[in-house]
Amino acid sequence: MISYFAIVKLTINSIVRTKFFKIIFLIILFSSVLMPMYLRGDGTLASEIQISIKYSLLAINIILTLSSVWTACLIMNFDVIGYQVHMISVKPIRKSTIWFGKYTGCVIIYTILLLISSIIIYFFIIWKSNNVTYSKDIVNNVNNNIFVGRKSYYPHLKNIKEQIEDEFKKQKQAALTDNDKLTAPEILKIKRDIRYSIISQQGKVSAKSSKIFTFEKITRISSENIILQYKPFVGVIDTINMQINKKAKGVWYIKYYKSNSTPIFLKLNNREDLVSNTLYKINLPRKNYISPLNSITLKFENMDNEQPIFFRLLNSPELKIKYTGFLDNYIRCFLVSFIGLLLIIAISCSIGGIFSFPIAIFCIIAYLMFGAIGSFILSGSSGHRTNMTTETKIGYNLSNIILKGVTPIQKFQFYGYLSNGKLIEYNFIKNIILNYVLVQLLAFMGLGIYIYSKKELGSIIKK
Amino acid sequence: MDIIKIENLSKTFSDFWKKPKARAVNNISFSVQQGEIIGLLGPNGSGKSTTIKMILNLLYPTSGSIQIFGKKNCDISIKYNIGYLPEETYLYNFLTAKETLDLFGSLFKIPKRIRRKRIEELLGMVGLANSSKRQIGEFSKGMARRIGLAQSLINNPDLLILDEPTSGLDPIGCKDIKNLITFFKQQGKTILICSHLLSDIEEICDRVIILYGGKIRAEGKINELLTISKQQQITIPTSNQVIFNKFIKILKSELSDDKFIITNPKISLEDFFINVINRAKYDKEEIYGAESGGQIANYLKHNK
Repeated sequence: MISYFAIVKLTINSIVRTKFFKIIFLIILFSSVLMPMYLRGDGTLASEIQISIKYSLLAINIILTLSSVWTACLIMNFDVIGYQVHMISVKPIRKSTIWFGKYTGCVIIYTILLLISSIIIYFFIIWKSNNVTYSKDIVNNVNNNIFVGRKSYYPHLKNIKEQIEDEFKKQKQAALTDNDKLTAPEILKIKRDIRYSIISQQGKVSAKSSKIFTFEKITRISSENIILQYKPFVGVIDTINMQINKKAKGVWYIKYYKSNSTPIFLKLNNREDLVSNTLYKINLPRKNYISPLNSITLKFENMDNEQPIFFRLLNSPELKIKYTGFLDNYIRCFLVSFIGLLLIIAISCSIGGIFSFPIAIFCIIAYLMFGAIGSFILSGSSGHRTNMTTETKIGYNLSNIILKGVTPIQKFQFYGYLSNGKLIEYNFIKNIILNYVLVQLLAFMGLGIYIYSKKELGSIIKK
Repeated sequence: MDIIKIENLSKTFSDFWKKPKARAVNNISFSVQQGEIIGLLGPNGSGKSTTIKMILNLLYPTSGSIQIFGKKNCDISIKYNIGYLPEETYLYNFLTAKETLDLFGSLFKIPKRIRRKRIEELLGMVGLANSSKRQIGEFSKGMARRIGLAQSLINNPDLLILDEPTSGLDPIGCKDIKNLITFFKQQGKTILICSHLLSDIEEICDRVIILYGGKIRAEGKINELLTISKQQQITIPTSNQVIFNKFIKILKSELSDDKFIITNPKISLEDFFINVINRAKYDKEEIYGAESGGQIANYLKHNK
């Protein structure tokens, strides 16, 4: 371990004494202070705070990511070109230890930079929110919606898989005589359409009727600060055929569990006009809503005489329950950014150890671009897979293949969650660790260490 | 015991498509015995550096085998007993002399207390005790060379591989290095020297290997290779003219004038220079660069 720590110390020394690091350090310091101070929103306190959180952290993350790529490639290359690695690798130290020591040194430096910038931004945002002359309601609204970590719950879809299978069987029997004619992608497409149709039906509240929505598996609840958020669609569910500003009346109820008596439904809002495709929020009164089976039940009553009201059950109605405070959520966000840095530095060290400095930089930038563009194409075309043109299909499939080996760096940016007061669940972090850290980080590290160990470090000709 | 054993060693440099471009070392075999000082000679491009890099596992042979201390050269454990001074001292410019030696000491896993003591002794030995806190980047070539030498000795190695050890050093430094090498020989250490300065090699090596075009062209003990067996040399004091005249008379009676030469022996320029500097030392002026004539580090005086 003495030799490993010697390499770590040497790497930290090397990085800190470069001009590049000094410049980056100053940029980070200035950005951390100036961005939260001067970023402005649409004039409301909430948007100002949201934009400050999101874009300050995003900017710092981009600076750190790009500079860490540069630094890691430099660290893996400068002593090979400068021959110093000759003096190191003839000593009793494995090349894998040299590689890992350099990686650790780079990670330590960038973790410190991330930590410093995150702390500065945090305190500036808190200072900014405390240093305002807005009314108490506005400040409370910011505290309730932004400086919080809320977990979202959506209505439980009953037996959705069985329903899809039943409907698929029915359609197949009605339309086909030869069962073998359907290909696997066709089956997938039909089932997806059935699922969409079933969900639409489950989210339909017919005129003059009501519907119960159950939110299940609520693991932890504090009776305070529950928000019901919903977006109704009046008449039709799709936005293409929707009439703008169409209205209908509706009322929400919630099941309230009073001690030693049967639960009753409490009215949450007055009979009001709901405009189609508009987001509504209701702050629930502080009472006990959770059933012994860890569920919350809501009822929506459609007061309109003619038109049905639809909800897209995958994201509406949504119950936002406070799980944690802003600081805890901020730390989770920091943790995800840190994991992202671990991965990007590992990739940079691996590629930097294989190729010369300019080629390595080119490869990593290409990697980051592929990740960003690939995920953009996937997210852009995911909603329209049935009507894709050939070019889009090729792009879609190509992106799918690329993203099997490339990690989009956006996966480590949870700043939108943080600025919207949405809980960054440990489940997300666990998935990131399983999907990216355990698979890609270890694979890249293994490959990098293997090739670095096999590389002839004496083949460079000193100019 | 063979400290280094090389058999049928070849190295061919290839391009990206594995197409051979140059054969730097071509099927060479030699061995180095314990306590021996061996010189590797050859013009530029003869394969000396490639051979040394292969011995140190910085380059991998295309064919053949290298054994050091009876083990394959890729074995990490053998490196605990090797000291290496490359042709140019490739050090980290931002580290101070002390930090540099501490870094290399750490790579040998030498405990901190011992490391600190050795660093002090080594800095004194190479005459850089006053410059221990200066960054290597500020050093002259000779000073950097001295630090390079010190780092190669931090582990008190049994095998020293020195590539152009006197390059960049002033004559006193050269003399110190040669004295040090002689001292190590007395200690039973094995030394492989690669140099262009034939006088250095002649002075200190037991045996030489001359490489050209990647092949061994000559190999043997210095005395055997350089002695002209058909001629002899006699040295007598000039003060005794009677003996001298008698001797000349005998020579002239037996040999024609072109068969013998009479000259005054000369000391080498190096010895003359050192004498001048030694006399000047009495002035004791303060100096900021490297000093000369440091004591050999104590830990190097003890065999393992």
